[in-house]
Amino acid sequence: MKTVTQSLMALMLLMGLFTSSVVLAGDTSPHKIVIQVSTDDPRTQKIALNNAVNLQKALGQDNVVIEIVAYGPGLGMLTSSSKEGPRITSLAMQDIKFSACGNTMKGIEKKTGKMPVLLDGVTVTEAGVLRIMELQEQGYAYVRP
Amino acid sequence: MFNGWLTERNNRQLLAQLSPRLKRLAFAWCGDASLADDLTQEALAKALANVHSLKQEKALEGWAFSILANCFRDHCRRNRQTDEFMECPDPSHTSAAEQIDQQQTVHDVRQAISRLSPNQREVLMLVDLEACSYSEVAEILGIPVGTVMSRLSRARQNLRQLLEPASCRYPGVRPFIERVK
Amino acid sequence: MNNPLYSDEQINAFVDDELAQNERLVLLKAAVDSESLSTRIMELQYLKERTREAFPLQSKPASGVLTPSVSWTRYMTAAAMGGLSLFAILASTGHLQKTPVAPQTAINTTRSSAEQQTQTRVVFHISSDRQEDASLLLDQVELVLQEHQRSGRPIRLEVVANNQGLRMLQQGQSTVASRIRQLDAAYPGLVFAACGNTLERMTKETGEKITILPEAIIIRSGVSYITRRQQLGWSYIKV
Repeated sequence: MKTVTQSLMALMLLMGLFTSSVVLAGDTSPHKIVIQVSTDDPRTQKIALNNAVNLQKALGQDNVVIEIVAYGPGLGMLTSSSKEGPRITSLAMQDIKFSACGNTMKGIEKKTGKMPVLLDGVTVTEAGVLRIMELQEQGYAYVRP
Repeated sequence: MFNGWLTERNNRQLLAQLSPRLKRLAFAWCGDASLADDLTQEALAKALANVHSLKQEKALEGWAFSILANCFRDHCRRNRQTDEFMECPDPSHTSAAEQIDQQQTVHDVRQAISRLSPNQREVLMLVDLEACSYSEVAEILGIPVGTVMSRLSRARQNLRQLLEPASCRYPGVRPFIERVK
Repeated sequence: MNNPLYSDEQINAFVDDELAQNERLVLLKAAVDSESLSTRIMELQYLKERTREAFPLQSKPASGVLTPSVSWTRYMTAAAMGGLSLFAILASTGHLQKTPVAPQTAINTTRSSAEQQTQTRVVFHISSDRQEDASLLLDQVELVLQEHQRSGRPIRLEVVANNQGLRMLQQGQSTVASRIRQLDAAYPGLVFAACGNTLERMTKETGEKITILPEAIIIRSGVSYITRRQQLGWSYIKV
């Protein structure tokens, strides 16, 4: 009997640990997804945008929060030199959030002497990786195309 | 030479830390707490005796699991007639007071698992409790990956059927899949 | 059972995280369109969780005891961290090897679940041998560590290398060996881990003797290690 009580206690403690993250995950919107873009490969960047669009379509615009975070070589996707520029600006108007890594931007400025110009609808975050970590802690599912 | 000695000491330490997990795995396989103790002790003794033969610590976990699996199989062979799963109490004994949801679930699951074949239990527990990959399970048990997959699939099919009536009692409980890699 | 496109084996592989990222996404997408498929996935996932819950770890080994003959007989009773210790074992041994008095050890003894939450835990993953990827990874790692050091927040950060990514941790091959040494010396909460499965495979395939940097530990399987970390709520970043 003692072992039963013990195992029950351990179990409840374990459950407590797991449910806390589940509760976090389920607060407002049922699905939260962060998509990482850290490469300058145009194909991967295109797939990232497609993923966002498809997920929004499949789950319903009101049922999903999507944030695309770009850093390192991936930052180019969110700047004025991006091939996907018009598409990104229009997606930003449809509730897909775009975050550019401020740290990467500073690095580019140091190297080239010019601060990159971001597309309309893109916000700056202090550091892309930190943003991705923060979002996962808030229960966002991580997708890296 | 000195290096070898260091590795060996390190391996002993890792083995010691592994013991609760070995014990849990043994218990999940055989269903009897004191038998699980015995199997774990037996496996640890064998492992410690042969720890010098292990070159790299990375192989240690899988190696220890496969020693335990051999002990478990030996035991099954020795006790073919007897029911290895002794801790499956009669469901009629469970009083209303004992029906705390969680306890009941644990009880149901353990009992259902006890009805699986030992082969299926071996695979299922390595995958579910130890989060071993299919290829790791194949290596530990010395069977092809395809066999791992089919045993696992059959184990879960059986388990689902065995648990079907029990799961109806908790219609509100839903699993979550929130993290996507 | 009316989605003949996917066998039970395939769905099991999905639930057990045996599928590659692209296969996962394809199946997820199919599940979004098919209620029967998503139900089957949910059922299996539920079954897996219940099995796990039915066998919690009962005891954990006394930490810091050097003689195994003592430590494996002297169990502590099921403690709050029992479940966690199972998954933390690999990491903690890594810490013990490197830094016997790492800050984590001090935190461990008094850690409550509230403190557990304020500690950042993140695992970085590299699987390519491109020089730019290794550099970008270390840039990001350093940035995150610096940021936490500046704001005084505790952090555990682990870098797992597998497949071609193992080169980053290979003695004589790594282009970033000296940087790894510097980072390792500067940040006690940092762990580099090499996938043992990859190491074994590469040794078999090439026949060469592969030595891992002394700063890195070797783990059994990179992928299952990462999966366990994620299950425990660690953040994950693939470079």
